[in-house]
Amino acid sequence: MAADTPGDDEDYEVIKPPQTLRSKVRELGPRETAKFNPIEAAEAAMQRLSGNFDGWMRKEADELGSAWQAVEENGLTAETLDPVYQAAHNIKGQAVTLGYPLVGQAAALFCHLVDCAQDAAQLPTEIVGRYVAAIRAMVAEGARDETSPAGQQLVQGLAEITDTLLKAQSKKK
Amino acid sequence: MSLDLASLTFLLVEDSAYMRTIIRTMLQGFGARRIVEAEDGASGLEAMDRANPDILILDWVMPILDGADMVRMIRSPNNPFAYIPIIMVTAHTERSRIVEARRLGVHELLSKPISAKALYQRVSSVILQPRDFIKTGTYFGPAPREIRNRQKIWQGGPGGNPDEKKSEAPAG
Repeated sequence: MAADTPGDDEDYEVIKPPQTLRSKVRELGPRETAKFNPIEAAEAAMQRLSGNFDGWMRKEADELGSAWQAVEENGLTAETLDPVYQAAHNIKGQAVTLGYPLVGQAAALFCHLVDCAQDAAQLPTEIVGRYVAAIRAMVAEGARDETSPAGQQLVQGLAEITDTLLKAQSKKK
Repeated sequence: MSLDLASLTFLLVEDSAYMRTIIRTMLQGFGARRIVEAEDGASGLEAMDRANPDILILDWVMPILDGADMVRMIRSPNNPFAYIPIIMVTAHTERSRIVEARRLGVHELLSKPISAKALYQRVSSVILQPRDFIKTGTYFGPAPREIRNRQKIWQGGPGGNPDEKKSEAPAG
């Protein structure tokens, strides 16, 4: 099998799915389309929702903090790290939508470190804790984007730490 | 092309309540009326039996049973939802994850941050461009692009290629 093509050089059977959704869904007519644009309607609904975004971002940061507290109490293990990773991964995915792209970058660096480390549970606890502290601080201080020099410095610092840690690990291989 | 999605049931499986709200809000904006939600893969599987969804939207990273595990369980020829269109939502951006998603048998991969336009395109695609399924010893899922292209050649070419390794069967 080719690297990313299921069934590329194997025998394969082609199966027609028993039903398709096309028969269940009606195409809107020109008069309906003139009155209703689904993408614009969704964007308008998101705009109405956006008043909640700052509060949601703070709660996501609190969740990360709670997960990290378990690491502080019980030590850094695969079990205690997993909820921290999940919380950071949620932040990575949501931060741009919630209006905090710089926080998303910090969370992405943490996820990259955990994804790429040979054994993330063996990373120095104090250094891993810096990512959590930075994310929480950026949310608390409203360091949303490139207009925050302090936020940018934090992300730059985390990027350097990530690079150093992963390079050190690759040298050990 | 705009579609009337009111007759479809969506199952949204995502551990973040906020992301569930965001995706639900977008789907409602598109005109979807029936959106069932679950917060992890295990409760997502239960919700499938209960809600009989037409389209599954699921997150990759979730506690208990993640999105990849859920797809593996669904994409089995004997599963009643084996052919359901799956849109996998993920904050993963690595190429290796995209390859893995294809191997799992998802129809569409949607990277976070999600825009209304990108989500609508994925939903429209699974409705308007239904895909045949492929079954091999190691894969069961929608036909990858390379095989779809070959099918077009067979269908369009004079007489096709008798050496192609292919058999056709109805959905069982």
